[in-house]
Parts: sequence; C-alpha cells; structure tokens
Amino acid sequence: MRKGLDPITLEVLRHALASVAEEMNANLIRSAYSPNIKERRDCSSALFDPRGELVAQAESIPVHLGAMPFSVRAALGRVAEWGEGDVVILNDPYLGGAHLPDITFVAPVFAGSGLVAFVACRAHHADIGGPAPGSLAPTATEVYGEGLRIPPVRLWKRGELDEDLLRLLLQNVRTPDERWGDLRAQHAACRTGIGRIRDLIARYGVELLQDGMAGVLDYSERRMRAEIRRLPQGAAEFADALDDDGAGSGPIPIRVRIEIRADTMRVDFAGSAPQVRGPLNAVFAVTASAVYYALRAVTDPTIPPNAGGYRPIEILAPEGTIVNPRPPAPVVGGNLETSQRIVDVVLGALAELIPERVPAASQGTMNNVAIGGTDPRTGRPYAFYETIGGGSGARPNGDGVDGVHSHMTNTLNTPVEALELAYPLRVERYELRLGTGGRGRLCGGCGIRRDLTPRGHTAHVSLLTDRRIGRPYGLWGGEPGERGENILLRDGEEIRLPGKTEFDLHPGETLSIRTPGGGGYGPPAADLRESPG
Amino acid sequence: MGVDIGGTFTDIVVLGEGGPRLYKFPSTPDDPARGVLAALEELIARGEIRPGSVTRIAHGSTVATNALLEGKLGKTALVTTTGFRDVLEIGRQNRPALYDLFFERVQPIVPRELRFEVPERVDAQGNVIRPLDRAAVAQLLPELRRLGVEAVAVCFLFSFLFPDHEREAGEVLAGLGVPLTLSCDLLPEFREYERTSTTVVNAALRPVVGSYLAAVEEGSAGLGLPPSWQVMQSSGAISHAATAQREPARILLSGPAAGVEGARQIGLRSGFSDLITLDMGGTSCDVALVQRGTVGRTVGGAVGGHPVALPMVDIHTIGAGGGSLARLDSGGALAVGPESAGADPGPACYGRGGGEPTVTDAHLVLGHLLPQFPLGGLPALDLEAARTAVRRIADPLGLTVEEAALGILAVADAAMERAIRVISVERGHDPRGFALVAFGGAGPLHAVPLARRLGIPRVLIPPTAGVLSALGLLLAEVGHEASQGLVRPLRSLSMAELAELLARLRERAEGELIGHGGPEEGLRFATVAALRYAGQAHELDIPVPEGGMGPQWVAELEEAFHEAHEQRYGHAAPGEEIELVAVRVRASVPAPAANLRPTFPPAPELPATGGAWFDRSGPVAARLVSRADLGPGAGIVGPAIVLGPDATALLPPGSEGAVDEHGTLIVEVG
Repeated sequence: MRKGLDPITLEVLRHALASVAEEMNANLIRSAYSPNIKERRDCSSALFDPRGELVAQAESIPVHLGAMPFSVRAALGRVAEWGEGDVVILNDPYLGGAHLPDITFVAPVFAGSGLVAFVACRAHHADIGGPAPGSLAPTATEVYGEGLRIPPVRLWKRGELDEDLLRLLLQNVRTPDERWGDLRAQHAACRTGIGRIRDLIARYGVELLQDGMAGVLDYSERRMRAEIRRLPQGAAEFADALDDDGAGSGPIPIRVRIEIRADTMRVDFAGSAPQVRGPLNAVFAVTASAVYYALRAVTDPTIPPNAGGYRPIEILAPEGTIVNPRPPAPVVGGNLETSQRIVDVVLGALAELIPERVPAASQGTMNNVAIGGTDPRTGRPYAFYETIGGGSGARPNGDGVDGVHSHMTNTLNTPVEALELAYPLRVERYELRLGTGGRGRLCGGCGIRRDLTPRGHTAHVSLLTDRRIGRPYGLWGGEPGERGENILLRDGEEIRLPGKTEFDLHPGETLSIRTPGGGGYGPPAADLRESPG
Repeated sequence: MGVDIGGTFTDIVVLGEGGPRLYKFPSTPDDPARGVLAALEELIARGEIRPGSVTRIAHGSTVATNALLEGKLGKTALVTTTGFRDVLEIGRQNRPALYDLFFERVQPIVPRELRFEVPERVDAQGNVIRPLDRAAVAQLLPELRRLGVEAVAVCFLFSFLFPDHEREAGEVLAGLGVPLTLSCDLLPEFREYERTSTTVVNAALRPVVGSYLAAVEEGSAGLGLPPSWQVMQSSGAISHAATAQREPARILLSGPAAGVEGARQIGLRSGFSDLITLDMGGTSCDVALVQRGTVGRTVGGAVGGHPVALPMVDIHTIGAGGGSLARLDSGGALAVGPESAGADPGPACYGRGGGEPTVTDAHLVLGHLLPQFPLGGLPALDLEAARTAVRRIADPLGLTVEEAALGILAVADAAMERAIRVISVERGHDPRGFALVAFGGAGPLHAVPLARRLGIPRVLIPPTAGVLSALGLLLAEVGHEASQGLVRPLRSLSMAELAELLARLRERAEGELIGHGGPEEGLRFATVAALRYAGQAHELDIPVPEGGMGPQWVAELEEAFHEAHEQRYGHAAPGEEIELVAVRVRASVPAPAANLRPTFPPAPELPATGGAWFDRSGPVAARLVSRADLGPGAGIVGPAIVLGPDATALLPPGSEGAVDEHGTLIVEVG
C-alpha cells in the first residue's frame, strides 16, 4: 500500500472517485436529448489518471465496460499537448471506438499547470449517417458504408468550439439538432466531472487525490488477484459459432483458450474465424468488454471496475479475425451480436474450470428489430428500434430465467401500450415460448414470442438476430435451448425468414419474432432414471 | 394519537394541548395487531391516555410491506387480454443486477397457472376491435372456485381509455364473492406491466391488510378508543382505514412517508422549505428531498421488486445505520455496511452476543454516546464490549481503538454523502441551498459532519427526532388522489373535455376523502398534469394553475412545462408538440394546528462535560446537555452532546445550535 493511504482514506476516496463517474453519467442522462441515451441509458462515464489508466466508471449496460480505455489511449496518442478546455471526440472503431454510433468524449483536468486526470464519456447516438436510419445497417460490407467515421479530433480547443468541424459533422447525420443536443450533454458531463475533481482537490489536495487514484487501482488489482488465486489452476478451451454474417458466410466459429496460473489469467482467441464481409466483426475494444464482463460476473462483481482489476488479465486476439478485425471491415453488429457469443465462449471455457460458478448459455443474441415507414395517420416518417429478451441459461443452483435480457445488454422493452400509441403498429401477442428452455436437471429459461403487424401501411423491417441456426449450449448433460425463429405470417402461412435480413412488411402480414431459450444444466431427470444405478 | 409500527419498536405519540408525549414499546412482528393493542391497553392502565378524550388515531404500519416482502399474500388470480397473460412475468425484460449470473428475478405474485386470458381487445384510441367474450369470463368461475382463489385482479390492454370491458368482466367475477381489483379503478394510466403489477399487488394484499385493520379497529373499539382508524399512505397523505382496506397498495411506504412528512412539517414551521431529510435507524438510512415545501413524489416506485405505480414519497435508501458492521475486506479497505447486526444481536455494546464492531460501537468508543444513557429503554451500554469489537479493526491496521472508530464513522459518512448526492446533485439540485433535517435514532449523530461534507449550512434536529414518523402521522393532511391516463396531444383536447375530466377527477377524489365521514373543513384540491414532449418515454408532473380555465390555461401549462424541462434537464423545445399523459387530482384537508413542543420525561442527572473524540488530535471536553433542558431560546456551542430519550445529537467543535420557538434545534454547522 502507498505511503499515507490507510484503509480508511482509501475507502473514503473510493466513494468520492466513484461518485465523480456516477454524477457525470447522471448528468449525461439527464441532459441528453434523444430517448436512446435518456431512456435506454446507452452511455457511460469514466475517470482516468494522467497516463490514461481507468480509475472509476459508471455504466448501465456491460457492453460499455472495457471499451473506453482504448479511446483515451487513442486520444493520448493523437494529441501531443493538452490545454485546459480541450475536448477530443472520436468514434472510429479502429481508433478506440466500438461501432460508429458510439461517440466518445475525452477531456483533461488540470490543477495549476499540471495535468492530474482525464474524464471521458461515451454515448450511443441515434444516427451517425450511412444507408439506413439509425446507422445499424445489416448489409454493410465496409466500415465506410456504416456512417461517418471520426478519428480523435479536438471539437473544443481551449474552451473554444470548432464550428467548422461541428458543421462538417452535423452535415452528415439525419437528425442534426438532436445530435448537437446530445453532444452538448456529453460536453456538460465532462464539465461536471472536471468540476467535481477540482472540488476533491480542494478538499484533499492534489497529492492525496493522486495517491487515492493509484490506491484504488491497486485495491481492485489486489481483490482481483485474490479472486483468481481462489480459482483452480489449469487451462480450458471452448468454441461456439455465430450463425452467419448476413452476407452469405455460413457459421463463424469463435475459439478461446483460458489459462489460470497463480493470480493471473490469459484469454487467447487463437483459432477464431477470419474477419467476415458482413457487419459482425468485433473490434478489440468490444472483445475486451465481453471478456471483462464474463470475468467480472464469475469472480466478484463488487470489485470496482478499473484498470487495476484488469492488470492480472491478458487478452490475446489475433489481428484479422472476427474478434480483432483490420479496417475497413464493417463492425456494427460486433457490438450487438458478436459480443454475446464472445461471452458464451469465455463462460464455456470457465465452466470447465469452475463448474459451480458458470451457467449454461443464455439466448446469445439481442434480437435487434428495426421497423420504419411513413405513419399513415400523420404522413410523417417514423423509425422504431427494439431488442427482445429471451431465455437465460440454467444455473448450477437453479433454473434459468424466462424472457429476460442477458449478458451484454439490459435495456427495457417498449410497453405494448406505449408502442401502439406512438407507432402505426399493433402487437398481436407478447408471451413466453413455453418449452423452449433446454431440458436438464435444471432447465433453461424460455424465449419470448412477440408478434407485430403494421396498420394501414407497408413498413420496412431490418433484422439483426442470431441463434436462428445454432442453439444455446447446455452444460453437463443439459440439453441446448431451442433456437430462435423469425417468421412472416401471411394468409395463415408461416414463412421462415433468415436471421439477418431486410424486407417490406405489408398490411395484413405479421412479423413473429421468437427468441431462443437458454441451455439446460445437468442431465434431465428422465435420462437419470434410464441410466443404470 | 399517532401509532407507528416499525420492525423493532412501536412508537406512540399522543398530541394534546401540552404538546406531544412520546412512548416506545416493543413490536410483535408475528402478530402486529397484538402488540399495538397491548401497548394501548398499557397506556390506558397507566393513566397516560383517557380513552374518551382520544379524537383520532392515525396509523403507520409495515403490515402491507412485510406481507409483500415475505410473500404472505392471498391466493390471487389474474385475468388478462388474450395473448398477454405473460406481461406480468416478462416485466420490462431487464434483469435486476448487471453482473450477477445467479440473479433471481422477482417471482410473479400470480403464477402462470393462475393467469387466465379472455378474448377482448381495445386499440390505442380506445376503440373496441374485439368485443369482450362474457361467456369466456363466466366459464372461469368454477375453475377459480376449485382453485380456492382468495382475490382476483383484472387488467386488460388500454382499459385506461376504455374501462367497460374490465367493468363487465368484474360484474361476472363478482359472483365469486372474493375481493376484486380492476386496473381501471385503481390506476387508470398507461404502461400495461406497471398497471398489471400494481393491480395484482393490491389484489393480493386485500385479504391480509383487510383482516389486520379489522382486528385493530375492533380491539380499539373494545378499549373505548375510536373505532375507525386512519392509515398513512405512501404518498404522505392520510387515508381512511376503509380506503386502505380496499386499496392497500397505497400504504406500502406508510412508515417512511410519515417520517418525511414529519420532517417537512418541522422544517416549514421553522421557516425552511428546501429540505433534505435524513432518517437513520438501526439498519438503513433513508434520504428524501423537499423542494419549495413539497415532498418529491414518484409513480415509478417498486416494493420488493414489484412495481407499484401509485404516488409515493421518493425515498433513496442505503444500508448504513447504527447497526452497520465494519469489516476489512479482501482488498484491504475498511467497509461499513450494508450487512447489519440488526436489532438482534445488535451492536457489540448491547451485550447480546454481537462481537463485530458497528457504527454505534464506534460512537460509544468516541464518547458520543454515554453508557449509562441508552435509548428506548435498553440496558446500559457496554463500553468494554464496544472497545473489544473495534479493536478487531484497529489491531490489524496498527491504529488505536479511537482512530479506528473515527475511521468507521468517516466511511459511513462517505457512503451517506454519496446517497444524498444521488437525490440532490444527480437530479439537478445543489445541496448547499438546503437544510438537513436529521431524525431516527442515529440521524442526529451524523448530521453535522455530513452537512459539512456536502456544504449544507444548517441542520435541523426536531424535538422528537427519534419518533418523528409517529408525529408525522398526526401532522399529515388527510388526502386522496384520483388519476386518469390519456396520452394525447395537449392541444387536441377541447376546453369542455378538460373541464369535464377535471370535474370528474375532483368528484372521485373528494368522494373518497369525505365518503367515510372525514372532515370537510379546509378541503382543497391540487391538480398535476403529467406532460412530455411527443416521443419521450418519461413525463414531468406540472402543477395545474388553479382557478378558471380561460383560453390562457393551456398556454400557461405549456409554459410551465418548458420551464420545468429546462430546470430538470437543462434544455427545452418550445416548438415541439406536448403530450398529456395523465391528470392527477388530490383532494386534501390539513391536519389541525398543534403545539409540537414535547413534554419530556424528567431529565436524568448528567455530568457537565464528557470527553469526546471528533478527530485524531484527542478527546475534548464536550458539554453534556439533556434535551429536556433545551427550551425555546436556548443556545448551545459545540463541542456538545445533546441527550434525549429517543435520540442523541452531536455538535462537533465549530458548530453552534439554538432552539427556536417550536422546540427545534437549529445548528449552524460552521
């Protein structure tokens, strides 16, 4: 432990630093314009030390967990000299981003002339250009086709907004007013963070605060090492696959080998599929987020998420693969779908090592559904986007949970009444798919069926879903969960749709999304009876 | 008389001409009615109350909350629209903890085999697109009888726009002879999951709360006390027991709401209308915000994981209380709470077998509490036991016992500071403009250091800090709310429609208020419109201007909405369409004025000073004062400790307090 930093001061400063990130994020959510940030809370805020080490973070969905350090490092690499009032923005997935809709802000904090910290925040913007409203095109084959790409650039220089740059940016998006509102909210969040850090400096002094930041990193590292040390030594491998890339690829395997040695862990994705033509590629930051999520979930989630906690973990992802693509591979679904499969393989390998802590596979997809068209009641265009829950995997001590979001996302549904009030759509059915959870000593959770019909117009539908071919695995003799299905109901006929597709949905037709069940755990009771003894 | 049942103590406040008199009795959680009635009987036997002179009994109770948390509910069936019986189970499809692979979602109160679908459908404009199949409802009756259901809930899609189908189904289901809750009666507002959950919670509580309130009222009448009681609602307004029996989902936060209401009333009397309330007891700490004299309320609350979309005081709770345990964790930090020693065994100094150090032990070690003056009739506190417990922290760290105790308090304060920042700063309010009202057994011990951390200039310590919830019951207005969901552009409603709607809601709220023989004097109405920009998913409650509904009425409402949006979110969009999501009317009658200076029991003999630690520099001589000796006009300069029968207040060096004419100790934190 550092000199002068006793366990009491450490705990008091830990609360203080965590609340800086929480207040930034609360302020971002509060002042954002778009529902995606305000209501779905697809954003995060964080505090970094001057070297760019993550000290504290507030996030409401795990896909943001490990992603921001790459942004700050990218910004540090591009900006030689920081000035007070500078704000760097970026979204380039190949320079610290995740996918294009996620825009990250990075700003320095000075005390006197010394740089003492960085604050950063990331938010998912509802549109960043590209061929489809919402910038979640399921058919892009290059990152250039997914929207506007922003390398680390200063949008504010010494407190002065660069209006030329802003104009360039807003010219390339569909809803410029809303974008500017959300960008201002991110700027406000950064200023909140800077102000809070200055308050802490006034209360504790620069030196103690910097000791506190270092102390908090060491604290998380000690706890993470203590957790890993309790795990059995050894190595395990696991592989699973995405169904396809929507551009004709066939199954895309992801392979991992996890090795636990003393108080360190190595996670190696060698042998995973090469990058693909469709937008399923997960940049390294997304892969790291998925790994950190899985490790945090199987160790102790109360360990403060920061760079110290990640020190004992080494992630190896070969370049040019589905888990670390080279530009210009398209990436939008890497964040949404591939991240889920990465969690599945990491947990699958950990199940070998620590069976008592790892559940069977959950649905393994976010079931992204985007519907747009012209509202016949108003003549105005509308765009509706949602993700749908499914079955979670059975756990060593209990059944899986029915109809719920798992792993990398946790956003709320749109209530049926809210949806029908706002859009020219009707929900015909919203129910559990009984019997879709994998059978086992403990059963997987059930998927969901949600049926939607357009009213009085033809709507355009984009689907970005997985586990329509492969099934969520069971563990220790448990059966896999039922696969999901995308069905078009037309004239009493059921027409099966691909997992990733775009099409027109006409009045009188119904889109029936049926999400996967979770895997089972242990052999089903019937099998036990049949087995000898 | 105010009767507040908590987990450990039942607090009774008798409010007469001589001011409030305070009593504490042990609670009987296994049969709450028994403990209450025994306490009342004892007060009568001791001559403390004359049954004939008691004019009303206001009650705060955890009966509904405990029944819900422990799942001791009536067997309940749910009837829904075809295709939607799983709405209750799917919820909002999110999970309660992000990183917990072993999370359990709250079990639906009504399991699938007790959820029934009947053909019917109404669209988003309130038009019937499939008529109700009455025969299908009638066919459920024999099955429901066979299953032995004790209550039924009915919730159809869009019933807030078209209640007829639920009413029709209700007529048929009434044949069962069990309590029936229709969502269109209880909560005619949109969002089917929250409405279904609230309706089901209400239905399942009715058998339990109904029999409990019947028992206390019957016992009360038997003792010659008033046969009709009043019950505190989660909203901070008092209702009739009859309303609580029919709509028990309204009383889930009965006790905490009474505390916040008590704090608000105390603050207002002393001239402060912007308040942060801090209620710190044995296991947890509740904080809430009062702004311009109004308690923050929400309809987005949940109890035990079950959404209850009825108005409730917006309270943020963290696991920090007098009984919170201090431990060194695996990373070498000192953690305080959320684990608690609770009431049993309690802190080490209670001498009941608790060996781990708690916040209370730290206070005792530091001389903030005096062993010979415990609270609430406990035996003398064991200082040596407290020192031994705190040594468990001190020794491994190479600290003295006092240094470790100071550390425990610093960590507990840091956690509470974070909680207060959540309800103030994170919602756009600067705590420096507020006064902190501290109550509960432990609140006044932490208030001044906590206020200093947050830049709050002033702390208010009520004369009845330890039993403020019971007092709040007597100060709260009697009130009832009626609401109607619409979800329509504000400008699309005609003046006539709006006038008709307001009149109907007023009539409903007033009918519930005075229908059970309540007072009519001072009857007033407060109306709020829940508004949002079209496309938003959350609405803001905007007070509706009173008086005539001229042509300016809608424009004024819009203006107020833009302003509130600007204040809360930092921006407004004057050009955009505004939607009216719901209208809520509250009819209320204020409580009669009362003298709040309590009559304290005779003060114990105290030494003039005691050695107390406030920082590492060593003990200082703190003045010891009995609360009973601090009359209006009295001043006290820190370091000082104020000992009352129900709470102890700590004034560190540099702070200075004065008692105002209401008996409230107002501390300038310095």
